[in-house]
Amino acid sequence: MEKRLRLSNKFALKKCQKEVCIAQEDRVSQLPDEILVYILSFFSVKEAADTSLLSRRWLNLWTYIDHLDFDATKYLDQVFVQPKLQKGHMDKYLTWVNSALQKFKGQRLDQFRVYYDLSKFAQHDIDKWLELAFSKKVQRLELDLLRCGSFTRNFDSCYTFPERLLGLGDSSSCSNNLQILSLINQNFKSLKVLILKSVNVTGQVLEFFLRNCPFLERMQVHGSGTLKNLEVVGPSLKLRHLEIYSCFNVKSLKICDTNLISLRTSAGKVLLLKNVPMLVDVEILGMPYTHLLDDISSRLLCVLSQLEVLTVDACISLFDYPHEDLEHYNFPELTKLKKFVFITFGNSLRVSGQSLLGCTSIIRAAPQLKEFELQLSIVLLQNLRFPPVCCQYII
Amino acid sequence: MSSSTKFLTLKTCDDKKFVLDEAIAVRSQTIKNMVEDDCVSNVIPLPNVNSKTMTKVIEYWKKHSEEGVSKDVLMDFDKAFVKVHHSILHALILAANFLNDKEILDMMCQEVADRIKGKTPEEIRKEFDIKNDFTPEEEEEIRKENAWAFE
Repeated sequence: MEKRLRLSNKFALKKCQKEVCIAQEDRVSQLPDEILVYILSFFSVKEAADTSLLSRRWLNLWTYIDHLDFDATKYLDQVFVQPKLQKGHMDKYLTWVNSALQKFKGQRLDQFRVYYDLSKFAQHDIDKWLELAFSKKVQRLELDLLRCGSFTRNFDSCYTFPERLLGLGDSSSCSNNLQILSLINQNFKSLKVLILKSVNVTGQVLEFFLRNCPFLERMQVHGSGTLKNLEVVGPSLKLRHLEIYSCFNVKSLKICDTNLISLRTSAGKVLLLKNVPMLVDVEILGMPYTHLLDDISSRLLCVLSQLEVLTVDACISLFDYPHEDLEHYNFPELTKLKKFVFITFGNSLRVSGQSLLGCTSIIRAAPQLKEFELQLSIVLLQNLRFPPVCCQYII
Repeated sequence: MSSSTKFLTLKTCDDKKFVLDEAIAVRSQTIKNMVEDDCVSNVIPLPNVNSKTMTKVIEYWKKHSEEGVSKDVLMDFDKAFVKVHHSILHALILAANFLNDKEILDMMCQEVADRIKGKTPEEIRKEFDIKNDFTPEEEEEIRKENAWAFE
């Protein structure tokens, strides 16, 4: 009996080796769960969930992925062409995310990304999503709630980041959720990337994240109407990349004693920079009717000699002076600057007669400059901007 | 033999032996750990990998260890390397997993993902010879449940 068993085992082994070459066998489904889940993590939630139809083996695998990317670009495009689809599509998007999150069984989240046109009408749903994302110790959190194709949403209709989730703000609503709160408080520790677009978020909330997330490396905030003052201060911060863009109510942006590497901001007018020795990459968006050259030379003065990349977005501001002034405009030296990028509206060059002469004073001040890039945006409709056409000159 | 030996002998599950420069073999974290822990005697057994798969892995290791190979050449090599039947993809994934070579594992998983991306369930089943074991009613039920409402 024993002998027979051994024989049959050997036979099984041989058969097994042969089968590697047999074409008709479904090998991929036999991979271990963790590998199949890993493969599904390359997909958006929609693509991953679609695999549940393949066979019983695949039915629930997608519910364990650790990247939840609720991308619906395709449907945003549909709304763009047919605006009347907006309401219906938004309801469907909410239903979809809610039901997917109900099925979700993963223990932790590497990424949670919402990319859809969502306003304050989705407040309740998004609050719940955030609660779940934090309870799964999310590392990269991205809420991109931009209205289809446009620059920013009207601040009054934006979703508001729930301060109560962090135990900030109104204390009476906190006590109701004390248990949830204490649970969630432990879960901010993993956050590495925070991206909030068309979300009303206050400086208090952002500073909470800076203080409580020891791994937070990247923070991007676009189109927040409630952001007034923000302080990014202290050598203990891990933050390396900061973007504060199109937050038009910012009164002060103070960045001191940190190891920030790159900064992108439209708040150049109220920027206070001090002791940021690692900062080498800056992008400044000019505000309407301001002279960007003045902003740059005054607000960035303390970092000009260390900058390696400078990007100037002059789409909505002025970047030129009368010729006679320009000739004498004395720009502080940009000792280390290697790359200078200038962004403007392709048609504003023609229409308002804006010239590129403003660039010359920067180029003159940069003895090490290797690259000059000119990006021309095209405006077709009000508030709508297409990706810029790009020209590069290697000097 | 001491741990300073330049060559290692790897033995696959079908009893084939491969003699390999240690510097190349340690691309496998599993083998590297064995070498570092000094538990390499004469032959390293690889009970989970067959010779056909190991030949492919070594081909990859050697190409990626060559000096002076341009990025483009390596990219072309990788492109050709992953163009294999799914049964070989499966074997390579298991081997890379056992050998703990994240580079090969990632590349192979990416390839499986690429073959799934953009296809209908029926096309994916065909690609990987997956048998549909749902009844039509069950399939309809899942379709309804998972319905990405915009379709």
